[in-house]
Parts: sequence; structure tokens; C-alpha cells
Amino acid sequence: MHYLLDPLQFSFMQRALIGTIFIGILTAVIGTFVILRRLSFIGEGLAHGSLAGLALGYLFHWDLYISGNIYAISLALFIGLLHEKAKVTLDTAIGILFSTSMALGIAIISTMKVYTTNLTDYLFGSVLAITRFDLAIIIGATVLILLVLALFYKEFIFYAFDTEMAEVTGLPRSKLHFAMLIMIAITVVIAAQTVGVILVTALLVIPAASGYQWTNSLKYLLVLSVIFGLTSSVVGLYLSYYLNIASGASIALTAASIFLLSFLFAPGRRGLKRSLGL
Amino acid sequence: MSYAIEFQDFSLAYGTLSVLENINLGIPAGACIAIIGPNGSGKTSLLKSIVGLNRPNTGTIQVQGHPPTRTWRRRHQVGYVPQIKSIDKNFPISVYEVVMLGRTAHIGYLRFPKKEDRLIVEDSLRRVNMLHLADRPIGHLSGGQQQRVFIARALAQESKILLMDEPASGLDIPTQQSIYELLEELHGGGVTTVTTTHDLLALEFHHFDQVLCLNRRVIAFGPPEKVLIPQILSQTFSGLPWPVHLSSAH
Repeated sequence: MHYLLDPLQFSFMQRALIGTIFIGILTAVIGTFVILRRLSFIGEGLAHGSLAGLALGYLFHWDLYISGNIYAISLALFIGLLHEKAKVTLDTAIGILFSTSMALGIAIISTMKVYTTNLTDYLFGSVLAITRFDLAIIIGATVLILLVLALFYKEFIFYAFDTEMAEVTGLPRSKLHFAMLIMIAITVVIAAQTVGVILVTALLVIPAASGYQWTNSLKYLLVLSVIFGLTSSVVGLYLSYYLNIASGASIALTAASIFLLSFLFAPGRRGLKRSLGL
Repeated sequence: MSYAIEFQDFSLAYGTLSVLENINLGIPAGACIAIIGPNGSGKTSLLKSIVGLNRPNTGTIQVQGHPPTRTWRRRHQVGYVPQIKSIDKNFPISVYEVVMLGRTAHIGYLRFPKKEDRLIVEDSLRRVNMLHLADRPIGHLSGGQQQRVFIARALAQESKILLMDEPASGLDIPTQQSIYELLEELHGGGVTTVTTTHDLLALEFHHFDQVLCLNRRVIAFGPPEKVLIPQILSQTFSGLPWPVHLSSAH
């Protein structure tokens, strides 16, 4: 028991634990919709693309969280608009905008003369650096997004399962699409705090993909995703503490281990590609 | 005469490709209509125009006297069964939940299904003989069974208008017959039904009030005995571009 409680004597570990619990829940729920809509690539694209937002924030001494969030939301909206107006596939729109955005981020970072520790925290994750302000944003965003999904649950499910018929019955397809993109963007930036932008897809996709191996029921899938997301985050955090490895890496590796076990032992397992929302 | 669906000088193009040209057509309320025509003749595009998925390049379409805008469709449901399509077999949703999706607009935002919704879903499944499979994941069903589930979803919309795109395509004869029996039942209930087919044998199964022969434009529209004659059928299926006017086309 003292293995569990000892780390919590430090206030930074208390904040880290609370933060990872909320992020574990948020990424698992949003991740379920990401794999159902086969949007895995957008999680990856927004995470990498948000580098430019973080670099801009760093350059102008803005709060990295807020600048990262605003940038990622704008990027998500641009991707959605390019997909709708320019008649390119969503994957192509993501490919164009995320690589451009990442190039912009690298260009800005390369002009910086000082080694930017704060920025590398976002690249590789630094859950132990979570401040009280960060925690307030994590909890606020999680509650807000879960509330939106709960209130419009049946509409988002209809949109995810059969977009055309959802539109026929009068649901606002475009609004649902953009709302989903915005929620993914916020989740990506929030989760980047723990696992870093490079590994954020791990938390977004792997817990839901693991849950997908075990059930054919949407409700159980959501519950299992949350259980696996929470387990990955909390176990990963403790492993990071005791083994002294980067928190992002230990969380992602824990999630991957759960997926491997699910893939090998779940009765009705699905193909690897579909499970990962591709 | 009141029309459930009315096209006036309606034309539709996808980019530079003309799909439907100068459609003038009035479908009376409560009628049971078949649309026949070869593949690529615009049957699906015509149905999608009625449910508001296609907007006209010129002319107008009115459904129950209104353009089928999204907000109008939300208040006045139009039942629609698209062609059998490959659904995501792994989507974790049961037959019952799929049919409940048809109740989304009735239930309304920020609300949960009530007892009435559940009864309507069960009744819709019973009418297509799929109630016993209500708990099955949709991906575990055969194509024909999935088609019946999608018909049940359209029934659950409780619409005054039901559009079915090639509902019998790829189904065995008993299932086809059950679909036509359902059409008869809906007809008796005053529902306007529009069914497309590229298979003329379908017209043997079921008596439609009127048949629309379509090949990008209206070749003929009228009672089956007047329309289903060799001259009109050859024009419809060979695509020769001159219209034959019968009494009901205006």
C-alpha cells in the first residue's frame, strides 16, 4: 500500500494523479468516437500540427495551454473546411494542414537561441509539471466535453454510424462534424500535458481500441475504454515515478500492453486496422 | 389536387454532369409509386432530392408544400431506405439501437427515449419480422436482414412519406414478397410510398398506382397499364431523349 501512497506525499504527484485520471477518462471517451468515425489520423495530425501553436505561444510568451488549444481548434476547423469546400478527402486535408503546420512550428523553434525546456515538456509530456492552473483547465475541459457528449449522445452516435441518414432526419451534420473536431482538438492539447504531442495518439486510440476487442455494445465499449484509459494513465504514472522514465512513454507503453493482452485474449477480437480506427 | 411531392422544372447536375433534366412531376398524397429506369438514370438522385440531400440547380422541389430544408425535415420526417450498402460491420450497435435512431428527431434534443418510442421501435421490428433479432449486433446479420432493419428504422420515423431505393435488390423471393406486403399495408394506412427498381419483374409482384419511367428526364408517368408498353419501356431503357406525356404528368 505504501507503494501507492508514498509518491502522493508530494503535492506535484497529487496534481499529476488527479490530472492523469481526468485525462485518462477524457481521452478514452473521445477516443471511442475517434475510432468509431475512423478519425485516428486526425488525432495524430492535430497533435503534431499543434506544435506550431505551442511554438508561437512560446515565442510571444503566451500561456502554452491556451495558445496550443486555440491553435489546435483553428487547425481542426481549417481541416474540416478544406475537406468540405475543396472536395478533398479528410485524410488528405489532414495531411496537407498538419505537415504545413508542423513545418511552421519547426521553423519557429529553429530560430530560438535558448534551449526551450518548457517546450520539450509538451513534446514528450511532463505530467509532474502540472500546475494548479493546468489542473483547473484539465478538469474544466473534461467536464465540459463529457457534458456535451452526454447531452447529445444519440445525435453523435447517429452521426458516427450513418452520417447520410442522420442528415436525412434533419440532424445538423456539419455542426456535429465540427463539434467533434473541436472536441478532439481540445482533448489532444490537454492530453499532450501528460504524454506529449508525439505520443498523444496513444491515449486517444489505444484504450478504445483495446475495449473494441471485448464487446459489441457501445455502452460497454465506452465503459471498457474508460477503465483501460484510467488504468494506462495511473499505472503509467506510477511506473514513471518508480522507474524514473518519461511519463508519456510509460503511459503509452502501459496502454499498448493492455491492447496486446486484449488482442491476444479477447474472444471476439477484430482486425488490427479496424480496431485502431483506420 | 394536393401533391405529397412536387417537382417543377427541376434540374440537377453534379459539377458539369447533368443527372436530372427538366423534371415536372406531381406525386399525389397517399399514392404508391414505382420508379423504373436503367442504372444511372437518376432514380437515386431523384430520391435524394426529395430528402434534401441534393439541391436543384434550377427549378423547385416541394414536399408537402415546402422545400425539404433541414429544419423542415426535422419537424416533418421523410422515411428513407437507401440501397443496400456496405455498413461498418464492426460498429458496436444492436439492431434495436439502429431502429431507435429513427426516433431521434421525435425524441428531441436533450431527451431520452420514452416508453412510446420503445413500443414504436418494437412494433417496427415486428412488422419486418426482425423483433427476435433485436439484440444482435447489426454487423452479424446478412445483407437482406440488414435491409429489413433499415426499413424498420424508416418505419420508426412514422413518416407520411416513405422512399425506398431498390429495396428488393439482392433479396430472396419470400423477403421481396414481404417487402411488397408491407408496401400494401402502408398504402392502406395512407402513407405515400415511392419505390425505385431497375427490375421490371418487381412490377409483377405488386400493384403500384402509378409508374414513373425515368431516364434523366421523365419518359412517362401514369398507371402501369398505360406506361408498361413496349414503346415506352424501350425509350426508358435505351435512353432515347424524347418524353411521352401521359395524363398524370403535369
